[in-house]
Order: sequence, then structure tokens, then C-alpha cells
Amino acid sequence: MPTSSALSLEDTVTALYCALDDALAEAKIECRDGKLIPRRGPVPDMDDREVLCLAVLQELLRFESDNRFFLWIANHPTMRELFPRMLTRQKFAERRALLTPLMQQLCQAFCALDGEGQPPFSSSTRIPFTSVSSCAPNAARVSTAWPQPATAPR
Amino acid sequence: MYFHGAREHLIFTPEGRVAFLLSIPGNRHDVNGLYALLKTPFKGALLGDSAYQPNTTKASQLQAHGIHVHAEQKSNAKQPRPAPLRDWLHARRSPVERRIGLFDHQFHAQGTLNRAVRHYHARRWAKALGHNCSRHINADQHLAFESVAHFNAAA
Repeated sequence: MPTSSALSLEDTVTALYCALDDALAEAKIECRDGKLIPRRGPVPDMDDREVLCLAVLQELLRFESDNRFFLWIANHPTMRELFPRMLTRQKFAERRALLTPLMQQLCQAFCALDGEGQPPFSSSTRIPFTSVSSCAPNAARVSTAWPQPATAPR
Repeated sequence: MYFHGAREHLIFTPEGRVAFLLSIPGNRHDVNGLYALLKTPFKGALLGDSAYQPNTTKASQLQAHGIHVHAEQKSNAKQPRPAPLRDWLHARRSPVERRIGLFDHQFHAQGTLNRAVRHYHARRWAKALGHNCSRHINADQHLAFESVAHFNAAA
């Protein structure tokens, strides 16, 4: 069985950052003064996009606890180079909680990016055999052929 | 006071991306996950198993909200659907169950250590976003679409 090619850490972080950037562009969310969600206060030391990138990276690298993740970042030279201005663990958790509504929007933006903005099975799609008249005991014989949809759902 | 755990409801698109995620207490019936969507901006057509059949009142509220549910019926349904539709709905079930299992395995659904509820919800959404990001990156880089082994190995 062919093994999957591993990405280097730097490539993974770069690819993740670019993917999140694509999703932000799709959702029409702009970053102003390092903030993706408008709020009061000075310009943050760490950009909201970097916080988002780290939050997703933690899940991709399977770190269960925030503490272990931050210990790993502190001891990893590549991560220190990529993220020179790190927040404390507590501030990072607060910023991540603040960005939760944005993460919901980005999940849907990824669906739209890959051409899934509209469901293939909408309420205007006529579903045969579901009217009461078809199910009634003395219903008139209807065609039993299942109509083929234009795009076959999976 | 007892803690009954939390049950997470996932909505997947046909291509296997997470469109929405909802946590409700574990001592509530699955259909409450569907009713909880009324308080969210989510709209769309959903396929579900027999646990997601709404009652008459909630069905009209869901329709008005823009959520259209097509759930498998229970075996004692008074107005059974025709066999082709039942078979079609049943055939859609296994890919969805597979994707739920894969999300659980790849993003270790039970491994979310947090002290506060809002941090817990933030991490659950980060997992869903990580799932969608990984699929997007894999498609972009021509890697195995549903694999995250190459990300795990980067640490």
C-alpha cells in the first residue's frame, strides 16, 4: 500500500494559513488592524488569523490539551520562528472563544468554496410518491419508475 | 446534580464536509438536536434517520425557518412512504455514518480537555474547521482526500 507523503511542519502551517485565507475571502471577511471580528481596543500583538491558524493546527496535530500544545510550540524552533509573538495560553483560549462565530462562518465558506453552496436536494425538488393521494388505499396507479435526477446524489 | 454528557449532532454535505455542528445534553432525545437548529441561522435540506422525525408543530416551524427534513420513518409509521423512497433514504445512511465515524476517529471527538463550556464549544468548532481545512488542502495538493496522516506526521 503506498504511504501518504508527509508534509513538513512549515508546509503544513503555510497550507493551512492559505486555506483559511481562501475561506475568509469567500466569506467576505476582511482583517482590519489584526482583527477579524470588529471590537474595541488596541491593535493585538498576534493577528486573529494567526490565532485561527494555531487553533486549527492544534486539532490537526491531535493535541488534546492546550497546555501540551503550548509546551510543544515553546520547544519547537520552527514554530517559534513562524509565530514570533506568541500569546499566553489563557489569552489564546480567550481569543479562540471570541472567534467561535467566525469559525462557524468559515466552515460554511469551505462548503461554498468547493461548490456546495446550494444543497442538491431542495424543497422545490418534487418528490414522487409522497402525496397523500398516492398513499391512499384506492389510489390511482402511478408510475413506479423512479425519475433519474439531473445530478445523481451520493 | 448529574452530568449526562453531551451529544454532538453533525450536518455533513454530500461531499463530506461539516456544514454545522451542535451539542446538546446527553439526556435529551436526538430530535432536540433538530429543534435546536431553529435557534441558529442554519437553513437547508437534511436527510436523517428515524430519530429526526419532527412532530407536527415543529415540522411547520422548521419549514418556515427554511429547514426541510427528510427522515427515515419508524417501522410503525401510520402513513408509510413508498418503497423506492424508503430504500433511497436508507441507502444514503451508510456514507453519512462512515463520515461521522471518520470525524470521530481523526479529530478524536472525545479528546477535548477544557474547563469552561465556551472554550469547549470553541474547540469543537475548531475541530470542524480543521476537518474542512484538511479536505480543502488535500484537494488542492492532490493528496488522499480524507486522510490526515500527513498532517499528524508533521508534528
